[in-house]
Amino acid sequence: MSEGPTIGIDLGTSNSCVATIVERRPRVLANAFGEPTTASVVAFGENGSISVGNQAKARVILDPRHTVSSAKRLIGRYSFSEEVKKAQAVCHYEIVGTESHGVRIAIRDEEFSLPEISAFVLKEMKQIAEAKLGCEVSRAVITVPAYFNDNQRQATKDAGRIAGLEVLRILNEPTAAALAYGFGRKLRQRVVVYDLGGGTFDVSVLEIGEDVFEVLATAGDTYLGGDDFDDRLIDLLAEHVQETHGVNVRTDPFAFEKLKAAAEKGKIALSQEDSTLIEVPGLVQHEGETVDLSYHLTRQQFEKLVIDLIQRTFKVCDEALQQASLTVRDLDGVILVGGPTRLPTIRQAVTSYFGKEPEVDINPDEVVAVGAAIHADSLASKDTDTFLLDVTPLTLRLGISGGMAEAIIERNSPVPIDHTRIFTPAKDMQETVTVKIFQGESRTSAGNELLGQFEFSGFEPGPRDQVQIEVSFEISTEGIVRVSACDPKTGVEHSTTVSMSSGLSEAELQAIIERGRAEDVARGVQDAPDVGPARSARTDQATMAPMEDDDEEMLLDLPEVEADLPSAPESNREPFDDEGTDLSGEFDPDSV
Amino acid sequence: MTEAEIRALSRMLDRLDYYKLLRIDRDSTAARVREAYHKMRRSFHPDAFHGEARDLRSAVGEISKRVNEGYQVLRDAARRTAYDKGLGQGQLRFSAATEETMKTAAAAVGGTTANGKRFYAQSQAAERSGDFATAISTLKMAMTFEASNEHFKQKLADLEARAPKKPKDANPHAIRWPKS
Repeated sequence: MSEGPTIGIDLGTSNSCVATIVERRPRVLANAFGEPTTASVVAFGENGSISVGNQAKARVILDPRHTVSSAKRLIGRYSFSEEVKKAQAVCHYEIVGTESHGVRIAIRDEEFSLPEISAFVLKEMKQIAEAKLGCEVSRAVITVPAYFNDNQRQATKDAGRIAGLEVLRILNEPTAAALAYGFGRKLRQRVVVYDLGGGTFDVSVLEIGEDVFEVLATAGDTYLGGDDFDDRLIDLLAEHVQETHGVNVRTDPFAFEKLKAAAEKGKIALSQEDSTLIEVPGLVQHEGETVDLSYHLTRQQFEKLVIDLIQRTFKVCDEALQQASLTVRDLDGVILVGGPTRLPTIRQAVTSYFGKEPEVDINPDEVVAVGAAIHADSLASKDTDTFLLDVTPLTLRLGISGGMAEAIIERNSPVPIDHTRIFTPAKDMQETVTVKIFQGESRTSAGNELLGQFEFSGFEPGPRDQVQIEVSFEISTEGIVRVSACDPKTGVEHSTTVSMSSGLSEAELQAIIERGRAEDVARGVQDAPDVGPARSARTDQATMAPMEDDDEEMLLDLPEVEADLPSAPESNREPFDDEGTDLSGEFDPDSV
Repeated sequence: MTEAEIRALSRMLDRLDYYKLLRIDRDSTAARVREAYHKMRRSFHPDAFHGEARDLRSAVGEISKRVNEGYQVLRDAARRTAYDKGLGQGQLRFSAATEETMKTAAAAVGGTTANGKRFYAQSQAAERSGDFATAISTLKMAMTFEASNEHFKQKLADLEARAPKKPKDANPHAIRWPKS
């Protein structure tokens, strides 16, 4: 088992933060510039150099084609997803799809998967910690939005491995925040965590019972964040430039990034002032003349621009409270997380929605990393003194004939949890079935997010009502899904950690890790910690990729009479390691 | 709890009902269920076994999963009622079939036919406004469409029992002639 300090990393859409525990007290580790947070931006220089952080952020304006920001919005998504299409339209770096519907970022002649991009950020955070602590750091807890699905969680975990980290746990951001808030205070409270990040929104309702942190319900929107607030302001400014000067700034990446930076600065200024002057001298050259931007923005004006976005967050809050069977009156505390919650506009709206002032002693930029550090420390030490009881944010479903998705494990179920159900093939004499796994709240498969799929054969074909296929579904403490299919008669089994996630197969992942290690050696960098041989149960990517033409008849179906399955039969099935380590291809901490 | 005891518990999960697993009485309140749940999760939290032997971790994982399953059923009043019913017939675990039965029963509460639903809703509205006579007459209408709906039958008996007993001539506004 590796030794040394453990860290907690809040891998954010816009900014990341790292913390640790020193002498039983959490401490945020600032970067070389003394800043507690570091921009989650990766810039690729012409000479092959890679920079991360605020330096890289400056490159967004100078070299937008080779500077990647907001990668978190893309991680664990398929190339056909809405978010990827949207990013392709607005991002200046090149986003390409792979044959198996994975997503890659093309930089000059190289292509990077999203976990590789995020790994650059994680590596930077690891190095910040190592510089501050003066020793090697290899073990970390990495946080993700509570509403992240299995693909996004797996991909984040992969990023950690690529960065040379032993990922002790993937932890939900709001849960981490609540842990930081309640740690060591012996509280008996019901709290809500309102977490508006750069690109995602989460809300979790927790019951804190001294050392137990029970998540009662969580809800979220992975398409809503501070970036969207910026976008509104950018639209306003771009329109202003168009009207007053007749120039479309959007066609000029350099000018557009300058406008974007100014909008962000203006938004932040409104946290302190009632109004601000947004100025960009020399924004763009137009017909031989220099166009300057000067715009007076008031807080009221900004409020009007984003009020519908704020309303959308409260719809999500309604949902979470309803799922927890609570009303705002049942809550003892409101915890705000994420940079955008510094905006007075949001603070006021939150106060009026919950009928309560939010906690003021919490730093919304650092609280998640602090919680992650506390949890990392607790996992690494023998005497665990806090217990996190989390839930799965989305209903886990199986695709059945007729384009439907049968609910198997409902959202807000406590994790870890498992469930076994009997299905039949969709038609007589079928030799193979396609097990398709979804997450989401729609009854139709098209309305949910596809996690992955695999083919199962080896059972005795027969009339459909006589063939039984047992499908087991498990969700680990980290929210990672594993599904297996089994013929109860023959015992033939096929199982997989459902994830084509990053679009990286275990072999590809290993190759990246190897390559990274070779590069480190070549650059004279200390060798990355050995992550050990992966004993992969992850299915080959080819079988996991969604098929182009869905063969309806290959699917499973509900049995005519639902077989009552009071208990999972004792098969020779390998029990699911709760920590998901071995089965997801991770190394076993005990064997290192 | 010793490691041997943990392993033993993980092997006997299939012989325990959710109450026995959480070590609570069948009539425990919701607050008691939660308290017992927290206690069990504290004792068997996978985090506390991080870095322990693999088989011990998997035993703890199996216990955690079953404890969560039990809690998910017992914390929900409707599921708990359905589970208790099945438990009477020896079903130790809540299954998809139980869930289905429960949902069918829940649907039957509000009526299963369009007309049944419509009259039942009218009956409920009348009951809320305290108009028992209308509540009873509309419920009877609903029952003409769903004669075998057990919930409707119970509801009718309930309404008739609660309806104020009125004397034959109950109109308070009726003009009474002085007795002569």
